[in-house]
Amino acid sequence: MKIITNIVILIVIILILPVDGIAGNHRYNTCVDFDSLGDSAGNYIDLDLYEGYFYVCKIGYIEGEVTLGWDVKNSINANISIIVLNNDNLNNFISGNSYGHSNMDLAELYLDWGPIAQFNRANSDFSENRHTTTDLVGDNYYLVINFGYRTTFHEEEVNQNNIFDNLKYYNSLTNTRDLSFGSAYVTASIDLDY
Amino acid sequence: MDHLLRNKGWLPSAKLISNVYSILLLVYSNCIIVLYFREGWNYLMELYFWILIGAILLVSLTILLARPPPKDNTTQYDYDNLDGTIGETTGENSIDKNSQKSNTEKDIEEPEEEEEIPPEVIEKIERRKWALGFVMFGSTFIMMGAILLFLSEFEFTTFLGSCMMYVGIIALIKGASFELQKDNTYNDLFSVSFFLLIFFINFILLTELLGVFGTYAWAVATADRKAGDLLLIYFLPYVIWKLVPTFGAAENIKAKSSVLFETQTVLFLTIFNYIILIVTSAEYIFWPILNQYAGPGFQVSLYLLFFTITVRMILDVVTSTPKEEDGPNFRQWLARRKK
Repeated sequence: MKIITNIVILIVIILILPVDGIAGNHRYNTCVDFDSLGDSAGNYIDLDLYEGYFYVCKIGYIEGEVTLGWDVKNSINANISIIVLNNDNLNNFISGNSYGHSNMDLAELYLDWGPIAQFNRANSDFSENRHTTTDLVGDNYYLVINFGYRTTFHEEEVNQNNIFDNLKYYNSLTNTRDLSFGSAYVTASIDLDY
Repeated sequence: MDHLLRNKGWLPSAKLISNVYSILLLVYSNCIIVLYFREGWNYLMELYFWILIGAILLVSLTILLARPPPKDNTTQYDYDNLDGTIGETTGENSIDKNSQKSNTEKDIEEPEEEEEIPPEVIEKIERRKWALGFVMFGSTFIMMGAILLFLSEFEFTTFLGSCMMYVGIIALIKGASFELQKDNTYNDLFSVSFFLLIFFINFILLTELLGVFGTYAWAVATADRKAGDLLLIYFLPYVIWKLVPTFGAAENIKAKSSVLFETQTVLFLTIFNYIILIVTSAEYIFWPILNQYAGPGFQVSLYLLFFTITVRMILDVVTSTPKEEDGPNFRQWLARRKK
C-alpha cells in the first residue's frame, strides 16, 4: 500500500515537473540575461510548437530605477509581438481580460513585428532590440512573446492550454535547438542593468 | 557584467565564522555560500546580524550540552527484593516486639523519608523553568527592541531594534513550545505552526528590514546568489528552529537516525511552496518578492521529494526482501543441496 502511494506521488510529481530546471521558475521559464549569454542563444522558442499561442519568461522582481530591454531574433520574420508585463497584466493577458502597460516607459519595449517584417526580410535582418530606462514599482516582470494568442489589448476569447498540452513545451530533456538556416525559431534574451 | 564582479568581495564575518569551523561545520558550509558582497550593505549591521545568530547558536549549544543524558530504558529497572521468613512465636509479648520492630524500621526508613521525585515531575519542572526563561528573555528583547525603534530613527538602531524583536519573538515561540510540551499537548500541528511563524518572521526581517532580498531579479542573479538566497529563506529558519534543543528530542533523534528527510516533511514543504506560489501568482496576496522565491523553492522541494521517495522505496525493497522471503538463505539452501 505504501509503495502504491509513493508511486502515485511520483507520477504526480512527474506530471507537474518544473519546466525550467532546478533553480528556475515552476510556471514559466526564467529569461536569459544578455550579459551572461556566453555560447547560449538565449531562450529558444520553436515557432511550430508555439504557433497561435504565447511564450512567457520570467525576469523576476524589480524595484527602482533600472535599464531594461530585450534582444530577439526571429529567424523567419514571423508575425509576433513582444511586450514586457507585470504580474497582474500577465494574468489578464493569459485569461483574456484587457491588459496594458503598468508603466509608460515599458510601452517603449512593445514591438509588433508585423509592420517591420517585410522591411527586415528585404534587408536580411532578423533581429530587433529595445531598451528603456525607467523607475519601476516593486513587482515581478515578464517578457511575453505573443504568437497570435491575443490580437487586441481589449477583452477577448482565448483558448488556454491545459496541463497536458503544456507538457509538449518541456524540451529540456531532449534540448533540441535547431538554429540552422531555414528553421523556424525565435531566440530571446533580456538585458537588465541596475 | 558588473554583478559578476561584485560577488568576489568577502565580508569580515566569513573570517568570524571560520573560527568556529570545527564546531559548526554544517552552519559554516552554508554560511560561506550565503556571504557574498551585496551592494549598499552595511558591514557593521551584517556583523551584528551574524553575532546575533551566533549568540542563538551558542545558547542552544549550552542548553544542549547542559541537559542530562537520556536514560537508557534497558537498565533503569532496579527492583528491591526483600527476603523474609515466617518464624514461630516464642511467647514473648508480641505487641512489644512489634512496637520495637516498628521503631527500628522507622529508624531505618527515616533517611528515605526524603521522597524521591519522579523523573516526570522533574522534567515538568525543568520545562517550566525553560519556558519561563525563554518567555522572560523574549519579552525583554521585544520590549527593548520596541523602545529602540520608538526612540531612535538612526539606521543602526532601527536594525538593532528589529533584530532584538526578531530574536525575542523566536524566544517567545520556543517558550510556548516548552510550555506545551510540559502538558504533552505539543503535537505536529504546533510544530508546523511555529515553523511557519519563524519562516515568515525570518522572511520579513530579511526583506523589509534588512533589504537582503529583492535587490536583484532572479533572471540576472548568479548561481551562488540564488543558492544563498534559497538557503537564507528555507534553511536558516529550519536551523534556528531545530538547533534550539527540545526536551525529548534525543529520543526522536535516536529513532530517526537516518540522513534522509522524512517524506512527510518534504511533502509538507512542497505543498507549502505550491500554495505560496499560487496565492502570490494569482495575487490573492500581493507579495511579489515572496513569489519570486516561491517558484524556485517549489522546484527544489519537488526534486527533493522525488529523490526522497525514490531512495526510500529502494531502501524499503532492499531491507524488506529477506523478511518477506522467510525461507532458507543461500547457505542453508546450499547445505540442503549437499545433503
